[in-house]
Amino acid sequence: METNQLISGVRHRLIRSGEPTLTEFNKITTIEGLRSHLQVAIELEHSTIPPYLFALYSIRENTNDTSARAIKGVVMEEMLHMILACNILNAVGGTPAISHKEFIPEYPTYLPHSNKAFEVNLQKFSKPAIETFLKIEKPAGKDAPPQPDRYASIGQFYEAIVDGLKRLGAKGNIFTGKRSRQIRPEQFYGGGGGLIEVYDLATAEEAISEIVGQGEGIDGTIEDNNHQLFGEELEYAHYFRFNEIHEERYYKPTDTPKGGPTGDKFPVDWNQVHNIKENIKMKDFKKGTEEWDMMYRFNKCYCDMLRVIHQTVNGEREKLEQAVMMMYQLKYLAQGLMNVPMGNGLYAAPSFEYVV
Amino acid sequence: MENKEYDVVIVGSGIAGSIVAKTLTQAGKQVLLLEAGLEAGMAFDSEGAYKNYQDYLRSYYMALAKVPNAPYPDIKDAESPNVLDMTQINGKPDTKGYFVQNGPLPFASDYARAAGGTTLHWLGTCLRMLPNDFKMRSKYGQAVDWPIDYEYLKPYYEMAEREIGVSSDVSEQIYPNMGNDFFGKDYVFPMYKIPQSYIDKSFIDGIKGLKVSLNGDVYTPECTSTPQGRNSTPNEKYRYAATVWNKTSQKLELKPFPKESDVYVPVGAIWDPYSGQRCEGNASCVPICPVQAKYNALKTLKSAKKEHLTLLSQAVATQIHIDTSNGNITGVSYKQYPHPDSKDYTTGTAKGKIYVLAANAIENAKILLASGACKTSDQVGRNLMDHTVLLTWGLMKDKVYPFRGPGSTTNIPTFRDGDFRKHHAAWISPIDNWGWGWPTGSPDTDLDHAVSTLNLYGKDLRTYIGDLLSRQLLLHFECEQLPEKTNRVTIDNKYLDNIGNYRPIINYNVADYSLKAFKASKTVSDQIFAGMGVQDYTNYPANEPDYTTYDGQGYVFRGAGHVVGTHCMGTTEKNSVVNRDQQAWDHKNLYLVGAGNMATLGTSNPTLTLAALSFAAAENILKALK
Amino acid sequence: MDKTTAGLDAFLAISVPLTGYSKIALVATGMAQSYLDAVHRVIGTEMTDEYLTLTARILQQTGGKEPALDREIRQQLLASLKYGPLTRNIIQMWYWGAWLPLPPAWMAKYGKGIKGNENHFVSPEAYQQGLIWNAMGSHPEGSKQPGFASWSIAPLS
Repeated sequence: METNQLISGVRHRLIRSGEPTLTEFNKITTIEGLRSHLQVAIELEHSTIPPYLFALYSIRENTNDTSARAIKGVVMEEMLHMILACNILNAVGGTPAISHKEFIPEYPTYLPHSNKAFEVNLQKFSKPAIETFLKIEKPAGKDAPPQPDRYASIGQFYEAIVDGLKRLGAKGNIFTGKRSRQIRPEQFYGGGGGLIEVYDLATAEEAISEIVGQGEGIDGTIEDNNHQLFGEELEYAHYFRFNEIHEERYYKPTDTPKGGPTGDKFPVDWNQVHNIKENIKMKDFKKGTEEWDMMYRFNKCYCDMLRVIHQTVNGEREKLEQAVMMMYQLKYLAQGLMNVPMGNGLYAAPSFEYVV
Repeated sequence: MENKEYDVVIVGSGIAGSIVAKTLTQAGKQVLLLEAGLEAGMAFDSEGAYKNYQDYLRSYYMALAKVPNAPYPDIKDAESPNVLDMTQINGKPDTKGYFVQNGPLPFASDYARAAGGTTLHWLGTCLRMLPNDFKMRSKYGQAVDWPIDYEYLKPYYEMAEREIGVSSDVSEQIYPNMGNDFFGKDYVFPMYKIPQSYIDKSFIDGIKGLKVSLNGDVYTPECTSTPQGRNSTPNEKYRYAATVWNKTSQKLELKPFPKESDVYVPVGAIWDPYSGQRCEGNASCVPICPVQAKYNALKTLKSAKKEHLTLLSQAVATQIHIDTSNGNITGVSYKQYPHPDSKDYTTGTAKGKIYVLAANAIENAKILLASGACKTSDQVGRNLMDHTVLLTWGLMKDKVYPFRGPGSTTNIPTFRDGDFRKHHAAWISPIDNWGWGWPTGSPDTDLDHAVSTLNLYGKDLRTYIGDLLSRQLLLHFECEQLPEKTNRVTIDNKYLDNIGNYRPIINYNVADYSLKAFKASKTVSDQIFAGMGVQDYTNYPANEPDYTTYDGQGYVFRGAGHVVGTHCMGTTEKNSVVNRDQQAWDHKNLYLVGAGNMATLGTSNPTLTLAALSFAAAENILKALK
Repeated sequence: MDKTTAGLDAFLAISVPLTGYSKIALVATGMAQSYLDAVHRVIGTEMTDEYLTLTARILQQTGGKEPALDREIRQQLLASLKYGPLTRNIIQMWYWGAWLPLPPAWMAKYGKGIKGNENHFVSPEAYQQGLIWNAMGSHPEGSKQPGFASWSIAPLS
């Protein structure tokens, strides 16, 4: 049987919006260049998290369960990718930097180092928001060349990194990082995919495959396919998961990427959403007010979490546990904010800004 | 379905029934499983399962008393006992709840008649029984010896620990008289231990160096992390992928992972494999884990081979039919109700080569009694046991922040075994993480007291709550109850439920052997509290349902939810209901599974042991089927 | 400002000193309106308006300043046979999410014909938004879970 391209086992998680703007291939030729591109990879993976979280939080509790689960699954995998990129950077003797001011994009933003084909906003759960997510996750054509800068697809970008790893590795050992700086597989949970310790070219390539979307299987606990009774738990690639929400219809295993979903109705209630302000900023409130203070507290928790993750990927891996607790806290702070009225029927929301 | 003969018919989808169903179907046998609970609870597709579980959760949020059965549907046609129905019994039977309580003391535990059974609301503690627990007669001159010993159960314990997904560190599991090879060389649990609580750390620090006197002996209470059936960080040294039937050797075996790089993956919620891959600290394990990080039997049932499994829900087994010529069982009758509270029902008879009753100890006894089955020994329904739990509580000196994390993460195993068992019951002391919730109804009772009696409001109220509730300490002394012939389940035509099925009539009391342990454990508690500077708030009001006195002192005990005994395992058809193979002495094609088989109780929460026994039973059934 | 909002503002204003939480902390629970609705539902519009008029006057006359505010809350609200039980109910509703039955003596005197006075959680959300959990450094049991191993350290906030 031919492999189903919708299933994450062979999924492509690539950005492609419009035609590639560059055709020449800027190679990565120095270890410094490689490290700085891996730093960009970390920033790139992170940059999608605030918009996904913003939309996820905006869904009212106990509504849109299937959509919320789909978005949460994607967020968890983006976090995994970010940590994987840190592992690769650590393996080649670099030091991930993820708690400085510039690390957090100012929304609306283009994806870091992309070809600036579209902007990403902090938007509540809505059709336009899902359309942006689809652009972020759209699979690329097969012929897109590797591209380390101004890429049209994340796949191109990572291919350039693989190319650089191979080229530099051929000249001598580049995997000089300490093993103790790697985040371990058993430290990750709650989403598809797995964490990989990186210490040589093979494991680095494995990690990149995980990021760009190979190697994920179908959950193995269900041995049978009577989905009347037990349901099927196939995991689709991000693009297709978002497209199910967008089209309000499930994919069937026989559907093709081109044909779109033709399965059962996927229940979406676009109205069960907090009416929160798009691309909200702290400066929308007067400094010193209780409202401003709440906005600050969310951002403080967010930035503290990034600081703890920074420590985690810089030799203190046991701190990941603490960062995870902060992630839970973030959600509850965001839920509080979304009850705070701003006038005109709009409500406050997390702004994901850098604070100290 | 009516005319189909299955290999095996199982009654009940709790942990015992689910383990047998999974093991048999994966070995290729055709199984019919009858469940008394609602159809909705049997949803295994992600949307249906999620929706049903959210309904449970909503009921829990809305329940004023968040007792073990609060989240689960109260079905008239398949009623569950509820601890809220328990009252003192004064002369005549208390018939308020599902149980008909004859006393003299009310039986204080409940169970859930729903898909997944009582594992829906169990705490998840997974302690193995100790070697001496199987030899109470020969070691201590009390009760009976089992027909099997610890060594027999050991491989099945390993299967149960894989199935449930137990988190623990072997190196910390040190119990009295455990022997040299309790866990076997290099054994590890599937996951590392669940982190011990902030309270535990404070308690362990406080008790350091304390010696307590008991019956003239001096003990140093030790604290150890508690093995639990909830998800934690996988142990990369754990190597088992599954329990499989080896046709050649006619044995169940733990099959290693195919690849070196394979690791144990925590089993998440039945609606989403990524939900609940770690305990998230909901602090509501009893009655409900919102993310299903805690094991429940639906996880096992979901992994059964479903083309070999037929599920029939809202089907209450009423009677088994006996071929009088050879004692064999020829069918199980059941009543199937269309709605939870309907008076009408349809009837049917399920047929198989072998029958398995896995409906909970009390329900199994009911079915056997209603069928006139297993009569030779006159032991059906007798020897009903529970851990009788004495609670002591007080305020720690410093804030320890209870009401967080799993119900208990540390215990004191020091008094689980010893020569004192010649005279009084052994006990285990879990350190509770949920403040005074169990004995006093904290935190809302504290709030009401602060507002209505102390006349606090505003910032003062906030400060008071912050101080009082963050210092609450609760200790359990879960005392072993011995099998007594007079602690028993019976049935009577006078007491029927909504669709004419028998309600369990329970005669129950606590013998001196346990009462002496109340006195002994209270002495230990007093010394611990004094030694640690805990302000003791323990009190045992005479109007509590299970108030009792011993040696001039009043005690209140509570049920542990450990419903054990009623169809005990033994050495002859005269002294027991089932043999060492868990096969009914009187009916060769009838197997009884669950905690009902346990001959004595020990100090372990019974679920792990009954799960291990269920694997052993499944193996015996597979052997019998050939 | 319409009447409903005015009622809500007054309800929030007195809830601040009664609970010891800031207005924004109360707003953030998202429960203010449904608690006010619960009061309305049980004791009716007339008594609710009367109560909120009184609480507004207390806040205005004292300027919200201690010790005057404490004296007035105690004397006019908590010590009042009519408003004491109601005030205690409002406090407990914020902390626990449930409506407590007003006592029989109160019902006999002020509550003729009143319905819905039985003990009940206002909603599943009300249970989850109780202030008591925050006050004790925890989270509602079964909700707002703080994550793996959180119980092994002191609360984050």
